[in-house]
Amino acid sequence: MGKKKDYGQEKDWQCPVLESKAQTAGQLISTALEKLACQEKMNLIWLEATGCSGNIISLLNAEGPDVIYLLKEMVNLRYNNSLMAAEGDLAFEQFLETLETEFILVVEGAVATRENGLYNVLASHQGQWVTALEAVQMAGGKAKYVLAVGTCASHGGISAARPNPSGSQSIQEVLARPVIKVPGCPVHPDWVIGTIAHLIAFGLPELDLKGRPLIFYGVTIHDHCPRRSYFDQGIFAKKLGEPECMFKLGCRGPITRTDCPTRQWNEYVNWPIGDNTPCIGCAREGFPDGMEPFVRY
Amino acid sequence: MVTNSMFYMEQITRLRQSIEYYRAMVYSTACPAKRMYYQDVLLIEVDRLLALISQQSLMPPAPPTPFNRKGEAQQRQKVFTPEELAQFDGADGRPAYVAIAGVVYDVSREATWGGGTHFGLYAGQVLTAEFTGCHSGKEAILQQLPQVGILQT
Repeated sequence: MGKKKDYGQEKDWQCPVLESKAQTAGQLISTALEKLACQEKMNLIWLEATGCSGNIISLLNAEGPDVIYLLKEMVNLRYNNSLMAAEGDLAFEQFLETLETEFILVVEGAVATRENGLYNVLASHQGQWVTALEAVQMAGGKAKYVLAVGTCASHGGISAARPNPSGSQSIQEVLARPVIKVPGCPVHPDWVIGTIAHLIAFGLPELDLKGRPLIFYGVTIHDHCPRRSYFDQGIFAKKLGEPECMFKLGCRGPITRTDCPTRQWNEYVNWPIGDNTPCIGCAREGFPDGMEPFVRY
Repeated sequence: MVTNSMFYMEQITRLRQSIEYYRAMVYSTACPAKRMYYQDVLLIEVDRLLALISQQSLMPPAPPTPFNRKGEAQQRQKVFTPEELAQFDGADGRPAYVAIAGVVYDVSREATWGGGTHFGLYAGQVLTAEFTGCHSGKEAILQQLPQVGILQT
């Protein structure tokens, strides 16, 4: 009270999404392909670390484009335990060979650090166990780009939830280099494939202060929500199933930045609020502990 | 008394100025996200204006007589006991109030307080330690929040 405020000189507030809005994942990808037509596809290593593998499954649900397109036209997937044909030592050899080339590293799941990473063993090589911690640090040191895909890899997520018995940490916490965060629980396949498309065609996309691509994480769900006018008028749902704003039921839309309301899920047909359940902030730092309770009655 | 009235007239004038400014920005902005931002800020200023008007009568208070001592007390802010505060926890559609440094704030419409909860904290409590632990140096956050009273000491 009593502090002088100069209302005439409001800092010019630029919407960061207006420019990025012009570039959808589809457009990025077709441009990427034109550029790629004359060059070698980049290698990609997809490591599943301390997580639930939800993100690779989400990737398999990709529609625009689908994962076959990604694998055939966009990148050479050199190593991923779920999708590659080779097994055992032979599989890990391929991982080691790819480290000597130019590659993109994608890591999903956090990294267990307790007992020197022994809580998560990724591979067995010449009789030795290779922990996720070792593999991530080996590849992370040499990759051209590192993507932390999913909330666990980006911010610790469910793997690092209280009391965190495995000592799980986000990828950024175990690598001393810039990591692009692509959170979500799971991540939307478009967000991953779109970011990879931008990387192979144009290099690093514009990132926000937390290292997330502005194209997908620039605006909160609240600012795109079809129930927003209910919030603005103060009309709130009193229980699940009512069509009004679910803010009083614990919706985390106002603090979560993704494009769920517009892009939607499962081949673009539905999303939580569209299905009468509040947003739980699954793509946010602090999920799940800080986003609880998911529903408040 | 006169000084008080002048102070509040000054506050009201400032708030009216900012409301006019933000209203003009809402009408003149093409970007929908920007427009929503200005509408949010406009609502905050309107809330502040309403809080200011409801807390302080614009009429100079009557001189104290044995008959209207009560009138004076009513002009002071509502005092919450901890039990009363605990009622306002945001559950069941109730308002969500939190007490920080002896002042009770209404966080029912705060974006970060969905369902009356905030990163694991529940409304209806004293959260001074949590606030200073996380938002130290950002006391400006509190100035944005509507005040509804003070905590009983």
